[in-house]
Amino acid sequence: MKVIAFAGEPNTGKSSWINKLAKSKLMTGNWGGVTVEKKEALLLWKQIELHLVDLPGVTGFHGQTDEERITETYLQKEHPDCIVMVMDGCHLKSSLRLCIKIRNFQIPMVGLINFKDEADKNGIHIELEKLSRRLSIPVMYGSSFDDEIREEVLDQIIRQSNKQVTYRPLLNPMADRIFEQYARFHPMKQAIELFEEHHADTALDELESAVNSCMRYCTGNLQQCNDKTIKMDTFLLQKGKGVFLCALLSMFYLMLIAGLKLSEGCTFFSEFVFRVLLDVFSSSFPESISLYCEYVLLSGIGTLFGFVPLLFVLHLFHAVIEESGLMARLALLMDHIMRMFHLTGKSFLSFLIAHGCNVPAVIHSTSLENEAIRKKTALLIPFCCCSARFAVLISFVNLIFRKKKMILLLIGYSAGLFVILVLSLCMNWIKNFQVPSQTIIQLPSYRALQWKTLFMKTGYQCLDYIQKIVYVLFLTLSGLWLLMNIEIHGTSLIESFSKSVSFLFAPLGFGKHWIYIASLFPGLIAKEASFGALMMLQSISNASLSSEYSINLSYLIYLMTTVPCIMTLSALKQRYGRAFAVKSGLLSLCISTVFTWMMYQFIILF
Amino acid sequence: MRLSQVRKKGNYEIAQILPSVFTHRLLSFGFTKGNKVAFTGMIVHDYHYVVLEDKLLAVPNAWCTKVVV
Repeated sequence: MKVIAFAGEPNTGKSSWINKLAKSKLMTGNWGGVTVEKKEALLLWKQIELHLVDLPGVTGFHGQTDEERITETYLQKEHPDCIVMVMDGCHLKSSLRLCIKIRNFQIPMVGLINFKDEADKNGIHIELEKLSRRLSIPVMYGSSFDDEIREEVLDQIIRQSNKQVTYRPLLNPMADRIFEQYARFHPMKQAIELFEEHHADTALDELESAVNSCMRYCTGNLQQCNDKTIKMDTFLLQKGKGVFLCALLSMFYLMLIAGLKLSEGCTFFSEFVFRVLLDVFSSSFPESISLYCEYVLLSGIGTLFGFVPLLFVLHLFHAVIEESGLMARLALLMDHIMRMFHLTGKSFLSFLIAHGCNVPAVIHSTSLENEAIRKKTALLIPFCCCSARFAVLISFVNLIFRKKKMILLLIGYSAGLFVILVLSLCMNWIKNFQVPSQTIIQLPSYRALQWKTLFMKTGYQCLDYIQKIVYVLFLTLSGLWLLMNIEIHGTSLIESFSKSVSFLFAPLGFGKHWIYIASLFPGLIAKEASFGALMMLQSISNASLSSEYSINLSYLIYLMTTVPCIMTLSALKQRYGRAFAVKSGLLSLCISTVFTWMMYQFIILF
Repeated sequence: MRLSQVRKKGNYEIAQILPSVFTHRLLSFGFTKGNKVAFTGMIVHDYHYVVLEDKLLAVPNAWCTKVVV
C-alpha cells in the first residue's frame, strides 16, 4: 500500500482532486478551510492500493494554527510515500512559495497545478517542463473537473512514490556556498533547518528569489484573475452591500416557497407510491405484517421519503453559496455584526454550515481562532435549523396550519438564530468568553458555477439521506412500532411513558397530547424521525393532532431548538470531550424549554 | 507610512514588518519585506481589502499598523 498525502494552500482543490481520483465524496467548496482535519480515501490502481490523505490547507509552517500543526506533524512523523502538491494555476506565486517549503521535507513530490480552465481563460501559460526541471519534481497541469489527466496523474504518483529523493534548496551561488558547509556534515533536511536557523534573512530572501525564478515560466496577465473578482467585490462589499444581502434573502425566501410547494406534492406522491406498492405486495402477508407495513412503511417511512426534494432544494442553495465564493465574503460582512454579539465572522460560517448539517459545523468550529470562541460556537451550533429540522418544519407547517404559512416558517427557522444571539450575549455576562482579535480573511476568486458539480454535491447529500432512511430511520420507527405494541394494563408502553412525563411538557402547552411527547424521543436519533413518528403514531392510535394554533406552534418551536441528534452530540464528544457534550445537551434542553415556555405564554395572550 | 494609513488605491512595497504577536501570522500569509501589496481602495468595516502578490486578502486594520509600506 502507498500512502499519498495531498498538501497545498487553502482552496486550491485538494479535496476535489481526491474525489476525482478515488471517486470519493469528501466535502468541497470555494472557500479556504473546508478541510480542517485529516481526511482519507482509498483507491486501487493497477493492483496497487493507494491511501489518499487530504491534509488541511496551509499557507506556511509557523505552528500558529491547528491546520499548520496537523499538516506539519503528519508530513514529519508519518512520512508518506509521496506528496501531491496541489497548486492554483491562477494564483501560482503563493502556491510555489509553499511548494518550495514542502520540498524541504525530502519526500517524493508530484506538483499538480489546478484550475487550468480558468487560467486558460485568463491567458495564463505555464511552461511545465521548465518549471518541473527548476523544482526537480514532475509538474502536471489540469482541472479537477475534467477526466483528461486522471490516469496520467495516478501513474505519475506511483512512479514518484517508488523513488528515493534528495531535494536541494533553490539557492543562488553565494547562498549555496554557505549552505554547502551545512550539507557536507548533515543530512539534507537537517542542513536546511540549520541554514534557515542561522541565516534567517538570507533564507527568506532566497525563498523569494526562488519563487520569482519559478514564476519566469508562467506568462500571461496574472492580475487579470483577480481583476474580475475585485470589480465584483467593489460592488458587493461596498455600494451594493444592501443589494447583495437582499439577493441572498430573496434566494432564501424562494427556497422556502419552493420547499412549501414541493412538500405538498411530494408527501402526497410518496404516500401514493407506497400505498400502491403495499396494495400489490401486502395482500399475501399475514395481518400483523400488513399492519406493520401500513404504519411503519406507509405512514412513517413514506412521509420521510417525501423530504428528499425538500432537502435537494436546501442543499442546492447551500452549494450555490459555497461554490460561488460567497462564503468568505459573508464571513467578512458578518464579522462586524457578529462581534456585537461577542462572536466572529468565522463563527457565522460555522452556523451557516450548521444550517445544512450540525456535524460538519462542529468539525469546522475546531478551526476557529481560539479555544473560548471554539467552545462557545460549538455550544451554540445545536440551535441552528439543520436540514432535518428544515424538512420537519416545512412538512409540519404544511400539514397543520392553513394560513400565514410563510410567517410561521420564518418564525420556526429564525427561532434558533434568535436563541443563538441572545444566548451568546448572556454567556458573556456570565463568563467573559474572550472574543479573538480580527484575523486575515482570504477571499477566493469568484468561480462560474459548474452545474455538474452543484448537482453531484447536492445529489450525494440526498443519497446520504436516503441511506439514513434505510439504515437508521427505518430501525428507529420499527423500534417505536414495537414499543407501541407492548402493552401494560391495556396501554402501550410508549403511551404510558409519554403520559408519565407529560407534566414536564404541560407548561409548554402540548403536555396533554401524548403523541407529541412520544414523537420527540426518536428525534434524538435523527430529527426527521420526529415527524415520521408523529405521522405513524397518529395513524396507529386513536389520538389526533391538536387543532389549537398555540399548542402546535409551541411544539414546533420546541422541536426547532431542543437537544440535537445523537450524531451532533457524538461529534461534540469526539472534538471537545464527554463533559462538554453532556453540557451542550443539557444547555439545549434547558434553553429550549425556557424559550418555548416564554413563546407559548406570549402566543396565548392573543 | 503604515498600511493602515493608506487610503489611496495603488501599489505599495512592504518596507518592514514591525515585531508583534501577529508577525508570524502576517509572514504565514506571505507578508515580507519587498513584497508588493496593492490597496484596492476598499475598506470593509475594519478591514483593508488588499492584493498581496496574487492573493486577495481582507486584513484587519490593527494588523495593518504592523506593516510599513
